[in-house]
Amino acid sequence: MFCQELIELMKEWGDPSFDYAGDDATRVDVEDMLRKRPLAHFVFYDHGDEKGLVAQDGGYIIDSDNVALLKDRIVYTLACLYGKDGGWEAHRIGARAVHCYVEVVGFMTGALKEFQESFNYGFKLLHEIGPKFSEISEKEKEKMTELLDDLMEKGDFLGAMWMGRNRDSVRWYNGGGAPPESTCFFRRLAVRIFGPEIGWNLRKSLFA
Amino acid sequence: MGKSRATLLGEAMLKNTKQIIDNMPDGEEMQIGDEVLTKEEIQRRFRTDGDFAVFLGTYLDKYFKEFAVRKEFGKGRRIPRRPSG
Repeated sequence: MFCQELIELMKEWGDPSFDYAGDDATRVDVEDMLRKRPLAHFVFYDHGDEKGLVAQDGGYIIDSDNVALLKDRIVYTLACLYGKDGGWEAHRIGARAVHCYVEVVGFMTGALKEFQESFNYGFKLLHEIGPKFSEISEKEKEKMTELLDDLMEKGDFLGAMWMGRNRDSVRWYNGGGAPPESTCFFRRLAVRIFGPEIGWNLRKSLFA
Repeated sequence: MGKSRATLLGEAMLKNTKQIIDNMPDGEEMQIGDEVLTKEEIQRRFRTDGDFAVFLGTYLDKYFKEFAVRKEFGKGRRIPRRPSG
């Protein structure tokens, strides 16, 4: 529903885009498309969880087994929780930047216009000002704050609440977004001692 | 024995939240991840699911305060500071 605006905009901008929706959005087809277009942006608007981006059949379109396909790409997602682990992993294996949410995404159907604007704003900025991810991240949060205030003033308090939650949960990894907290004690310790660059790249087997 | 001040403050917060839910326009829905809740479902869940009630109360309260600080006192940050590390 929210993605349609981006598809229309890409047509308007003359950017080639390939739309996989419904039953077409299978892991095999998406992997095939990504292999054929190694540098293309990857936009995903659907369900997600900590481990990956979820396919229509309940499996994953992208998870740790095929995340390498996102290397060197700009990845833009509207999917719950992907920023908690999967999105960070995509960044660590070499995705240029990953836009994702670390919490469950919510919205009110009475404010679809405002939520669409907030969800798509980062991608529009990417087109307008280029891959300046820190700047995009700041402007995106600023826009979401403006929308939060508009909803408050209109009296849509639940809409404002979700706008605020989404704003606090959105990350641009490689745009200054802080890495998620690891669930592993030893990983957290390693990140604290060596910093995120080294701490996150130590092999899992070292902690086993 | 009278209610503690903490209980009274908590009750006030939950009462405000309930009123906000009751004032939702009919037909509007809340989508949380892959779950879609109608007004009636939100009201029922608010009554029966303590975690959900606390979640809504907590975050409504947080963003009301943020809005008030930004608008009324004119000294709030428009963008939340990024966590360090």
